[in-house]
Amino acid sequence: MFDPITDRSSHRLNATRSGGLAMFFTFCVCYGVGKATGLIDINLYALLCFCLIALIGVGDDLFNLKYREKFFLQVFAGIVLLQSGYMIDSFHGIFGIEALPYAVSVAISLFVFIVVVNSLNLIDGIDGLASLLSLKFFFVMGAILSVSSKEMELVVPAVAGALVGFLAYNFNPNKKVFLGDTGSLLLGSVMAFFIFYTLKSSSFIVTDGYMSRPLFVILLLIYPLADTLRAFVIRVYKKQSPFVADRIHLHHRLLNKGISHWRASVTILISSISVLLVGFLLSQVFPLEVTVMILFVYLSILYYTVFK
Amino acid sequence: MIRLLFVLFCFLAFSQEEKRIVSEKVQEGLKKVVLAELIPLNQKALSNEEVSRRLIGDDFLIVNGPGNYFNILTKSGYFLGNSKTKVFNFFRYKNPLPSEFLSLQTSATTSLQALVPLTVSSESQRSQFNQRRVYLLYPGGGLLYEFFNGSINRVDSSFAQRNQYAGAFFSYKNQLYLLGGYGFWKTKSILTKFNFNSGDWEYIQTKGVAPDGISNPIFTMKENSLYLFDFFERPQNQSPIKNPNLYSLNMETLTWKKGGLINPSFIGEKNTSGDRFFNINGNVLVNKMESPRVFEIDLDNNKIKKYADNFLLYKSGGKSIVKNGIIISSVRNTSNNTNSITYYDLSDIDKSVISEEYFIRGSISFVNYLIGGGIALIIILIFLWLSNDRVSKSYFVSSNSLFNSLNQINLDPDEAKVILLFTKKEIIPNKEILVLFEEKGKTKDFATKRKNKTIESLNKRFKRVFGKNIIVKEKDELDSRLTNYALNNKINLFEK
Repeated sequence: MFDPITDRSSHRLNATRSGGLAMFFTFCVCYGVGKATGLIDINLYALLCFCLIALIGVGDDLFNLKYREKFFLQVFAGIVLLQSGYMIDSFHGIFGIEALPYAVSVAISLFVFIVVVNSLNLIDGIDGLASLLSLKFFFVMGAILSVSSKEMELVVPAVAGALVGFLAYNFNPNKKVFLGDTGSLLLGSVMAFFIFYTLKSSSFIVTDGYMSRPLFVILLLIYPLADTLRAFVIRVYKKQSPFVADRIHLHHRLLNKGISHWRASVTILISSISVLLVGFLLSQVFPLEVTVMILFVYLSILYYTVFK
Repeated sequence: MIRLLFVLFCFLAFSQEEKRIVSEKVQEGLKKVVLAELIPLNQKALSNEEVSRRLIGDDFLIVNGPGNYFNILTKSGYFLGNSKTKVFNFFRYKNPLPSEFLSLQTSATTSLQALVPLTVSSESQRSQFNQRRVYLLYPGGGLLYEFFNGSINRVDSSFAQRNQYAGAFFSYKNQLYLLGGYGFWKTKSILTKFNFNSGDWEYIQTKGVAPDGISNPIFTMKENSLYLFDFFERPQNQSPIKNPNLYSLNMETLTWKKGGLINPSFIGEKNTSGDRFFNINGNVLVNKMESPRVFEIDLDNNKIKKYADNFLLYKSGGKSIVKNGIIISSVRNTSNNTNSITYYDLSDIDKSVISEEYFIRGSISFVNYLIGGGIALIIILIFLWLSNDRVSKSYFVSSNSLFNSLNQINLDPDEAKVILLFTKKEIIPNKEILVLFEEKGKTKDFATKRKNKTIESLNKRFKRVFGKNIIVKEKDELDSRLTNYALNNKINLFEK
């Protein structure tokens, strides 16, 4: 599971891609203890999906799967996750749409699953970035679950704890460990599950009184989604495969400015937290349409001041 | 005389039937009740104490009635009581009790107490229901009886389904519903509606994520939604689990919604089949059997008030109703197996408030968690920053390169020799470095120039790649005429 040192590599010492696998085992142990003591309960289909995704990740880390193979397996894992009953069954008033027909709901949920899982995978290009952004996501989601779901609220500390342990090694030059595809795909799938939980109309989400659910979810994942969309558009514009690995991501821009991995990751983390806070504050004052427009302006300012 | 003989005959036939199904002890109690009721009471008003003396054992029900009136149903007849005057009259049922009343097969040894009573009230006199009708549901669902106009009649054409024990029996828009319940070794969350035309119970499809099962819920109807909480789930062949969430079922859209986690100080209390709850002015008054506590739940303001159970509601075994702001309850005296009908004016309840808390976790818990999460994130970042600061000082030297986790520079043999010295100690006198460059037949000046050139080149390349000098020239602290070379204090060198 050693990560080869290539031209695109940022490391000069041997490093393993075992971080995700270690996280998966940590999660399994925590879940086992939690389940035995009655403190944690997650839908079995969701658990099965996480296991499948972890397996796909391990396969990719060991054998470098082709993206078509990965895509097919991810779709399969997504379908398994949808069996849990958690899916995006409503647009919550966006475009004037509330409840969705079942087939549309399944299709959109599957699309979101693939996007979220792969966006986490794509931003895992510098030390700490995917993990720090995931930590932010899980801390906010933990707050949501603490109000609405006793059976799942302890999932967050389990994942966050595993991430903190991993981060200590991620920045260690002597014993460097990467998330690997196992970790980034696993984190992506867990995030996708919680997004489905949040967007499911029957879930009680405490932020409903303050901001629109879809906006809340998008702002939680603003960096992975924006970066993935940007990279995708640029590659298509350049008539390249949208799945090809390159250095056009926003975090690479920061590295090219001579900023260290640590500083780049923290800069992006703080930027994404600021976007969430600004979105939250704007939602208190303005209607959704105005909030979104002002957020676009804020994102443009961030882009030109931080990344340009 | 003929009348007396007829009554005696009825009594003997009744008691023979009872022998097959009730225990010795309860049978004894029932006999006493029936004997007592042989005395024609229709003309005589009974005091509260007299009625209390007649309610022996468990087999009676207190149900609502019109106006200030309420009823206490027994097997042989019913007491019509006035909550203001506290005076009763006894009446026999106009029709014989349905035969199923005598063959109830529940964990209870007697029948009436096992029935789930539901008083249906409606403002519209034209509607199907009015306040005088009380519906009684057979345990497990299916059989439905109506207590109306002095008799109990079966109104369904169904059968004893035994699929929805301890479900939520409620009415909505003049229709009767039964939600959830326990049956065939697991709890259900199904919704069934009674069809008054066909006499059957119909399954109603709901949307959204329902609980895994609903057993012994506390429920209340608010606007179009039924709110449920404090119930058990019991998946197939597993032990029952208390569901800690508030749920609501919108009866218009038939959609389930989760409403948040209930305060653990409330949900932590044990729930038994004897727990009782009342809907009062939009709030729910809950009495727990396990402890002398009464809770008032205000769903609109997300508050829960805890009261001392001064009126011994917990001793009522669930036999209690609220009538015009008064709790009418039977308090069991276990020493002589009798029951006293007691009244408690709810306007006095505020005097016994113990505490007031939130009912479901809401915004405050959310914000607290976020603050805690934010602090944790800052601590993690500080820890990583300190770790990263240490890491950023670490450089490694091999025989031909100098590198850290991010970058590297190649070293020529002279540079490697100098750098390797600094892996052993941080300050090296000039003469020690000079030795490395001395060659036979060459002047000392030559060695000095080579040394200076090597260190200068190394610093230049190192600064270009890593942004700082690696070797700093400084004067000796003891003798300022001597020169030392020191490793930049922001660098830790390790030999690889």
